[in-house]
Amino acid sequence: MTVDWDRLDHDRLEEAVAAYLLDALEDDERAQVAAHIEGCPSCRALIWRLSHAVDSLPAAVDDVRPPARLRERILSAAAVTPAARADARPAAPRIIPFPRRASPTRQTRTFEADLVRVRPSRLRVVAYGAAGAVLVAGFGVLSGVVVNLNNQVHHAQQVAQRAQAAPAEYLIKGSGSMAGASGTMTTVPGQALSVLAFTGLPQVDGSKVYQIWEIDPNPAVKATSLGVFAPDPNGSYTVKLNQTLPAGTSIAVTQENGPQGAPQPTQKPELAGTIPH
Amino acid sequence: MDVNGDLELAEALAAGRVEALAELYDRYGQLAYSIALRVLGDTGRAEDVVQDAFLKLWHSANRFDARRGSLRTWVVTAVRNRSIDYLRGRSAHERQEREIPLDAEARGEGSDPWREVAAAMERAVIREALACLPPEQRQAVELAYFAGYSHREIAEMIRVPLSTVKGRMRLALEKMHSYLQGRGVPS
Repeated sequence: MTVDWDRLDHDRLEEAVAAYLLDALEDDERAQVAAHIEGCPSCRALIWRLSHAVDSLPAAVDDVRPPARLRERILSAAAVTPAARADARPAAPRIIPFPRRASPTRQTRTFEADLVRVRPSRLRVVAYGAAGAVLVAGFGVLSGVVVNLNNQVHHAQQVAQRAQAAPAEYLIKGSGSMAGASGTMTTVPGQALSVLAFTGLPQVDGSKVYQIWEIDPNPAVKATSLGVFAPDPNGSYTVKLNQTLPAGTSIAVTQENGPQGAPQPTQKPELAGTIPH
Repeated sequence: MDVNGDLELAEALAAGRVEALAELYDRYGQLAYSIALRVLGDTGRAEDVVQDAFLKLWHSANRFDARRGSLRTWVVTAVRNRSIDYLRGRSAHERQEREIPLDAEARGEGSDPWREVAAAMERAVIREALACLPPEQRQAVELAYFAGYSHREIAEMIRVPLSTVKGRMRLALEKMHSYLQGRGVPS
């Protein structure tokens, strides 16, 4: 009987693939596994499968928001240190800088305090108008982002179905001068995460802004401002809240004086919806 | 394949555009900080490591290869490695970076609220997948990935043969892969 040394070597190295992916091998063994993988289709297939698990591990950590100063520290340091070789790749002037976030005010909860900026990627970034620029400077308003709602909702629903824990979606209805507007409130079970999406919003003149209110079912509790915004040219606006929306809570939108909005609603909301019990 | 503008962003970084670094941080800064904090357990150290990692990426942006993975993976790898090095008292030059196999990873991070909803639900599934592992298998994975121990060190620490540690790691990752695949979390 002969010993298949190649087979033994393969089995030994294959057994180390998981440790390799977890970066748990000593240098010499890591090099052996790396070299073996190059010429071994079955180990490459194993790598592909196990990478799925390893690559998911970062998402298993608790989400913690870094202090705002960290961003400033990094950008300040980068500004005075040489970047990668500027001529290494062609410049790509397609990155659109975002407005700097302003400090929250005392009277009104702002997007800085409560909302995470909606980041466009493949989405189309709307050019900021003059009114938007004023808002950015004074209030840290989010940039308007056109969202392909149908696709995104479908995507969220697909994920929800797969995860067997569907997000709940509630309607926000318009009336009066806002009859053509509507929206949805989507909450994710067990997550401090909600999404408000509005469409069909009439444009506001430069002195006005839309203001979002969270209204407690207890009439003795004052409305809480969630922030102000200007819709994109298509009358759409989508924003993420890092909070839950409890049953009985209403979300309402009013037009208020810009750029900061009002401490409390100055008109009866014509765009509103309630999370049912 | 360009994923969610990764290629454009990497090109802007390589061109030395500071606003591209700001965009990279806005996309992945929170994830990076969360990982560093998970590994180091100290907010001050986590800040230092994240700053160090982003500046390292800033200085080497022209080496980003989209075929080997997304920007998200690039950031996560840099932050995790630096966190482990910091934790274990290793200097960066001692580390031989593991290269991500071609085609092994090419997914991008979500880019809008709806995607963030989906990402939040995926995170929940991933936590479930980890939580569902037998304790000894989860321990092997966590000691390696989040604490930076080698399989040999883990074997000595928990007093089991080296082959047992390797086996637990492989079983853990196989089970996680099956769980995630069954719940539709994309690879």
